[in-house]
Parts: sequence; structure tokens; C-alpha cells
Amino acid sequence: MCSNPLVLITQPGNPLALRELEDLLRPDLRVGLADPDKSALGSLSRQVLQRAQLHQALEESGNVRVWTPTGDMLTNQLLTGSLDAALVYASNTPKAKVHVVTLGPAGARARQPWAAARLSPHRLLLERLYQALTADGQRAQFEGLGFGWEAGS
Amino acid sequence: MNALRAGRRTGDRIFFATLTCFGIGYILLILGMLLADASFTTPAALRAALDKPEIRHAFGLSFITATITAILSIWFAVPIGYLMARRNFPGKALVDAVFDIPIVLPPMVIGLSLLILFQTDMGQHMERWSTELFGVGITYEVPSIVLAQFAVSCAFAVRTLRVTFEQMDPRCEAVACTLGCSSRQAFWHVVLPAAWKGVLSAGLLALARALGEFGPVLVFSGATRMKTEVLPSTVFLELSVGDLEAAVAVSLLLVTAAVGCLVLGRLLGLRVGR
Repeated sequence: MCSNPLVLITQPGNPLALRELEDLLRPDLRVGLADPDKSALGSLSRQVLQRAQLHQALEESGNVRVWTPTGDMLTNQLLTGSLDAALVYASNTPKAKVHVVTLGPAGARARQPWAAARLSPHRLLLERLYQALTADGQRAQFEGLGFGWEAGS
Repeated sequence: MNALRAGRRTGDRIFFATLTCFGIGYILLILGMLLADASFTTPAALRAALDKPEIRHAFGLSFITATITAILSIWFAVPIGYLMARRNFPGKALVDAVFDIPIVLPPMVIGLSLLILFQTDMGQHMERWSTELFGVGITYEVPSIVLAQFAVSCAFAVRTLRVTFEQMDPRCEAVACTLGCSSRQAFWHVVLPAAWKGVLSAGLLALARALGEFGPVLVFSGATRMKTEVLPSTVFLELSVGDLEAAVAVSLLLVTAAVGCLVLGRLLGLRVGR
């Protein structure tokens, strides 16, 4: 139904001028990532870093200061000033005063599917819920919260 | 007269039976939760959980940090508890309320407050000092676990020790002082030996509390595997990927450890948590 792109967040105003994933290897940078084995965000981040051939180098650099289970926690940890950069979902950032770097082709996005249990006795009700979620005007609301719109595409 | 006495006895029985019903209801809830946990896992799942290197690491780290926290808590709580029990000073009620803040604050707020504190100039100074002295910083490192646990556990230790000192007769110290002891000597040679049960109770309570501390540790230390992951973080991480069996197995380990602390306290004739 919608998607959630992976983004790089930095301190407001991007004082360290971080523009791409390679910048995460800069000496003494404090990076936060989600747990790669215990969260979908962490797994996606690892895939993106592996695809960019940065995963190993980033681990060896010692720049990864913390793993957390969720993206919103990383956003808040960065906001306190304890991190310089973190990889989170775009939906973790809309109200946070952080600088968001979109990753473009180097990035990835999590797709958020819609499903109803085959044996659910409320299939018609769920169908109506889906129609309500994808009705006119809903797209802007999803996009305003950082999600990409996939319904009907 | 006899009828009146019999009526009062019946009334007393009904009163205590009502109290007992409340007690039994609460005990059933606690035991029900533990039995439900136990029925949800198997010895094999427990063994499998203990075989995972990251869980073994979290197990060891939890016990080491909780022990350090308990010792630190006692170190601070003994003088604070004694001072609060024996001395009156202006603003004592306010100071007393401040010592209770960690008990009433939501755990996540304590973690967040610590994280913000250590980004200030003073916090950064302490980070540098810790790095120079111990070769490791504080935020997102093992010392942050101890600090997060200590912030909460010490408040419980202070409360326990204050009650301990308040219940001791101050005449003993006064007699020691009339025999030539200074206040410091009376404290070390009279008060502290007499308060050993309270000190041990406070230590065990701080240990049990530190073992279960989750919110402040997650925010201030993160949950980096093989580095800052403690048992409560493991439960959360396993739950977040739907591995309920592993989460319950680790929870049972935590319950066993906490109950072990409390039972040990009772065996030693202590009043842990009372």
C-alpha cells in the first residue's frame, strides 16, 4: 500500500556536510544503526551498506557507536547530540528537527503491504477499511508523514 | 455478654477473611503470570536460549553491571540514609522528595535525561575523564549501563536504609559519644555493625532492581549486541522479531535471578523490599 524509504539523518543544518553513505566512514564520526538481526530497519540498512560495499569497512572503522531496536529511538538519540548520523526510515523524521539526506539509487525502501486473513469473518469490513485508507486525500496524509504511496501503482 | 463476644469474633473472622481474599487474589495473579510464562517455554528452548553467545554475553554483563550497581548504591545510600534519618535541616522535605524522583519518574525519561546530561559541557568533560582514566567513554558504553541502573536502584537503597537507621535507637550512638567516641567513630563502630541486615537488604534490593532495569539502559546505552545488551534488552529484541519462546526463556532467567535475590534475603532474615 505504501513504502518507507531509508534515509540518512544528521544534525540540523548538516554541520559535517554528510551527503552520501561513504561519508559514514569519516574518522571519529558517531553513527547509529538499527539492530541488523532484530529489526527490519537494521536488516535493510545492512543490505544497503553491503550493496555499497561499506558494511565491513564501517564495522571496522569503529564509527558505529550504538545499535537500537527502532528508528525513532535513533532519531531521538541523534537529537540529543550523542550521534552525528543515523540510518532510519523517512517516517521516523517528519516532526524531528534533523537534516535528512535522501539516498537516491544507493538507498532502499521498505514496502508496507496490506493483507487480510483468508479465513477472517470480517473480509468485507477489511475491504471497506482498505477503501477508506486509499480514498482521495489519504495519499497526501501518508506522504506528509514520510511514506511513499504505492496503492494502485 | 457471650453473644456480644461471639458476634465480635464472627465479625473479626469476616474482616480477616476479606483481607485474605485480597492477598490470595494478588498472589494468584503473580503466580499465574509466572506459570503462564513457564508453560509457554520448554527446557529445550531455555537451553537453546542459553546456548546463544549473545544471550550468554547479556547474562554475564547483566550480573556484572548489577553487582557493581548494588555496591555503588550501598556506598551512596548508607551516608545519605543515615543523614536523612538522624539530621534535621532546612528544606529536608524537599531533599527527601528529590531522592524519590527516580522512583516516580518513567524509566525512559531517566534514560533520556542521562543522555541529554552527557551531551552538555559537564557531561562531555566526564566522558573525556572516563576515557582518559579507564580507556572507555560513558554514553553507549558499558559504564552507561551501570549509571542508568544506579540512577534508579540507589533511590530504593536510600529508602531502605533510611528506614533501617530510623528504626535504630539513637541512644546507642549517644552512649558511645559520652564514652569518648566522635560521631564518625560511633557511626563506624556502633551504627554500621548494628545495621548490617538493613545494608544487605538494600544491596539485594538494588541488585534485583538493577537486573530488571530496561528503559534507561535502552536509551542511554543502546542495545548493541555483545557490547551493551543486557537481559531485559534481550527480551525486548527477541519480542521485536517475534521470537516469543526465546523472550520468555530469558524472562524466566530474569525472574529466577530476582526471586533468588529475594529468597536469599529472606533466608538471611532480611526485610528485602519491605
